[in-house]
Amino acid sequence: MSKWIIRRRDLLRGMGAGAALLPLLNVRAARGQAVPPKRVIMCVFPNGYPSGQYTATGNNGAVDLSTATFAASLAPLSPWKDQLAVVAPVKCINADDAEDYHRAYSMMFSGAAPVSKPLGPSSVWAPTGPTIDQVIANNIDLREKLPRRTLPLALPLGEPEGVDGTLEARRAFWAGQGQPITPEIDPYKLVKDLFVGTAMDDVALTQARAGRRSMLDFLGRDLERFSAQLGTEDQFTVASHLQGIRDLELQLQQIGTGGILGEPPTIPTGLNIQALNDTPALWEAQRQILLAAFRAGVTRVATMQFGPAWGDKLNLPWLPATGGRVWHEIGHGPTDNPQGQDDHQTVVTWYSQQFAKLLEGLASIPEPGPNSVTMLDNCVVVWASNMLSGDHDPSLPWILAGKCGGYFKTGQYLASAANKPVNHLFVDLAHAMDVPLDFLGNPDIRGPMPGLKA
Amino acid sequence: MPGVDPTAPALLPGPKPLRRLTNFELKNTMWELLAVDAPVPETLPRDVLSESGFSEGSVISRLEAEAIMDWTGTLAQQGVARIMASAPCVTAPADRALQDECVSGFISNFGMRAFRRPVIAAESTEFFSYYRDVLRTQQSYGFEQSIGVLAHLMLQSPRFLYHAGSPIAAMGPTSGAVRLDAYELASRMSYFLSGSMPDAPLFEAALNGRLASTEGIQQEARRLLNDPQSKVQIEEIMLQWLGIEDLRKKIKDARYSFTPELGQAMVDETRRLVDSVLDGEGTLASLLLSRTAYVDNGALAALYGHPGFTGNNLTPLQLKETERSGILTRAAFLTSQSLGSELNPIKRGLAVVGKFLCLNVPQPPAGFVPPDHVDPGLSTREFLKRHDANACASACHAMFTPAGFAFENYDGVGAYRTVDGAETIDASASVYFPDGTTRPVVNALELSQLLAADAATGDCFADHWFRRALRRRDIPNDEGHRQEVKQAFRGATGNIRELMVALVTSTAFTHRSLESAK
Repeated sequence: MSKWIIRRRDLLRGMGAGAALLPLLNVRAARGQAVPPKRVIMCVFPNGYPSGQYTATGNNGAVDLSTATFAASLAPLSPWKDQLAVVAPVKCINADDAEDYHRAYSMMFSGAAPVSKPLGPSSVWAPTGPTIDQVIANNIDLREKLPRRTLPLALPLGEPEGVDGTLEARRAFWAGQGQPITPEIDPYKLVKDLFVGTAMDDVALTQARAGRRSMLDFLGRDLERFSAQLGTEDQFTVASHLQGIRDLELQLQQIGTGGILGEPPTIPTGLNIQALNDTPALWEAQRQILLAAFRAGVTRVATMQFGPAWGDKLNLPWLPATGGRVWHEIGHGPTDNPQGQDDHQTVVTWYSQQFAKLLEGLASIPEPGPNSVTMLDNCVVVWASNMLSGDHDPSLPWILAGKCGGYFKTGQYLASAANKPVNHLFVDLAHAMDVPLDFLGNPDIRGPMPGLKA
Repeated sequence: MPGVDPTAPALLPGPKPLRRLTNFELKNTMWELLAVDAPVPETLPRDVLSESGFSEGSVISRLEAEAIMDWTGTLAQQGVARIMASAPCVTAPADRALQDECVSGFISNFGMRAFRRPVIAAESTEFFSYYRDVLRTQQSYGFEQSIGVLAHLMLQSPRFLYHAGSPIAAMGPTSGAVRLDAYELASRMSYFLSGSMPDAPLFEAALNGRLASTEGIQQEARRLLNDPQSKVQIEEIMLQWLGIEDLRKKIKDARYSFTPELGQAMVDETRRLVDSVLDGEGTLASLLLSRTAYVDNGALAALYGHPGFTGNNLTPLQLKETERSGILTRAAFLTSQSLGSELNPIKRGLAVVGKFLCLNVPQPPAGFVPPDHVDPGLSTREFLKRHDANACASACHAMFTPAGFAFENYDGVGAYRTVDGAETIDASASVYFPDGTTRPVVNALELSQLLAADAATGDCFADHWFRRALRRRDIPNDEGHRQEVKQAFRGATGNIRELMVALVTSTAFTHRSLESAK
């Protein structure tokens, strides 16, 4: 048991995360039980906004959002203005040409220089370090054992074909180099895993759990021995596998001791996890699961992926106005297609509505505390894309929602952040979550984004 | 290997990266190992595209580890008869020491097949200690059930799930290159040639040292390539090389009446085309030129201009000489290499130059915005002519769009047509070749002839299959080895199976560098 803690700590240090203050973390949470836990949700969608729509008109510099008007794509977020920090588009410093911002999907939350992997006439990027959700989750794991380090969710990602068929295009969250986190789509499996099966009186069941625990324990050691014979690159592959086994062990231990589990959400039957048409219902199911999981203390970190990096095999049949056109092509409009801007707006407006629903859900859960009334007050929800507009506008739009226990100054459009490296935002997220991080991925870019902290 | 010194710096073989078995390989291996025909579960993410240009299994993280644990658990129960057949005792001996002996024997026998190599003593000890642990903690388990649990564990071992090197070799030298040990080579051969684990004769060849010589490898390779299992593997590689998608999920404009069933029929027809080529001449040229089709779907027969044909898998249909030839003019290729927007010449042209001629097309410049539809009232050719007049686009598009015009006789689902909008189809095209020449063709039939006759096509084909055999991207040192393989492929007049034999006897395949080793 103690061995893993050392491993995680090493991992955190070894992968470009500057965590010099590690032993001093989270003093406040340790002292006062009355403080509700903080939580983070990272949501990502590809292909950005319709041209000119990522704005809050009427702003100069850091401006009060309450006096601003959102364009159509962001209009669903209007009721939440006082909870939002809209960050002027930031930069991915590793991206040079426009196509890079598609490639940046795999590393837009890691900040480390990627490795380029050729793929026919194109190429993809593989990240070389962990994404911020993993860094925060690993740090939480040092203080507190939860059944899940993270809850990685995604909507159907389309067929694994073409450039969107690569892991680099299909995974936005990574535990480290060569270690993509596979998101979960199936709500039935999630409910079963997270909320069902606590009848621990049954002797046979207890024994089955003991058997599985011993198997996982052996597999973990087996993988360690196996890994010792491998070169560095291959060790990354096995590290992902090992982490997977450890995560399963962790979940088994927590559930086995009866430590969690609240009311499971009710999921409609008959959803097809591969069917694009079921996307809205799948998202609603996943949203319910996420809220219930947070409430039950399953995890403090969740991720939500709304598509692969290009979207060139993905259409959106649940939005008939898009006429069956492919998401990538829609993203590029309206340069060649007069309908393009409207289609893109249709899609992003739908995405924004889903984001607003997530905020609504968090705000519906009361959570009293010194800085909070609802769960949303103790959360930070990130809403980011890999490019400003689908025409490869080379910068990253980031919206933060929730004050995360009073850390964030919300209700503002942070114009001063424009063109600053995205890496600063990772530091803010870490600090908001009481993780003492000075930089992520690039030691030359340190500290938080000025103006974001309350 | 005669003639090649793997220690010569320019020929130092490349690394053999650790890959997990693809879902296709997992399924085949389970069949071979447990005699259980079990598709991989939906919960295991599908194979992804790797930098070799072919599929690889997705990296194992939490979700995959759990899916594999559940799946192998079920299979260990279903395949218990085959599992117990690896135990040297039929029923549990009453004596504890004899029981232990039987379990040790099981670990050796089952491990030998599951790990595709002999189990070393340290591993055997570990697995035995796990068995002891099971007996201690799970008192309700009988002897057979305990062995079943042990098998379940072994099926989740990285030694089973990954294409791993020999644990003995890991203790050897740490720089330069090393020849794969016989079992690792047997595995590499078998998974490339058959998509599954070695069969009994191949294990025996490894044990008896017959894979130490080129002749021995050739003999075993030809034996495997004559097995029906190998055809399925060659179909898989072909589909991936050609970029043929899962057409059940293809999105096409409503005017085509495209259905998932038609899409599936197209893919099936391509598989049978590959089979019929392998049953016949077995050459790349015949793949490009064969007009024989096996069609068991009415809509597809109609699409090929034979609406009344009610054939099946066994009745060959000769496609119309003036409309069709081999793989390039078949529905699955044409439909996969099409866009929703009907700008098909771009995609089809790119496919020809990339997959058949291996031209390196530069990436679009910064700020590039691809056109995403054809202006109303213009034929596709006319629209693209205007688009390509754009100086920025013309430099690159000259390399591939012209080849794509050869396919203008085929619409978005590969049906033959003679008019596009108001215009009569002009399928004449000029094809840019790697030697710098530009050659005119009147249509895709002539393009197929041209490609079938030119050595550049075979060389390019060999390049793709070289990457597939090694399951990695190119490194500069591959060049010498690749030339040898191309030479052999030419010498065998483009025989696909002989190309595979040349690949598995190449030093690039039989050796690996130690640079990635610890």
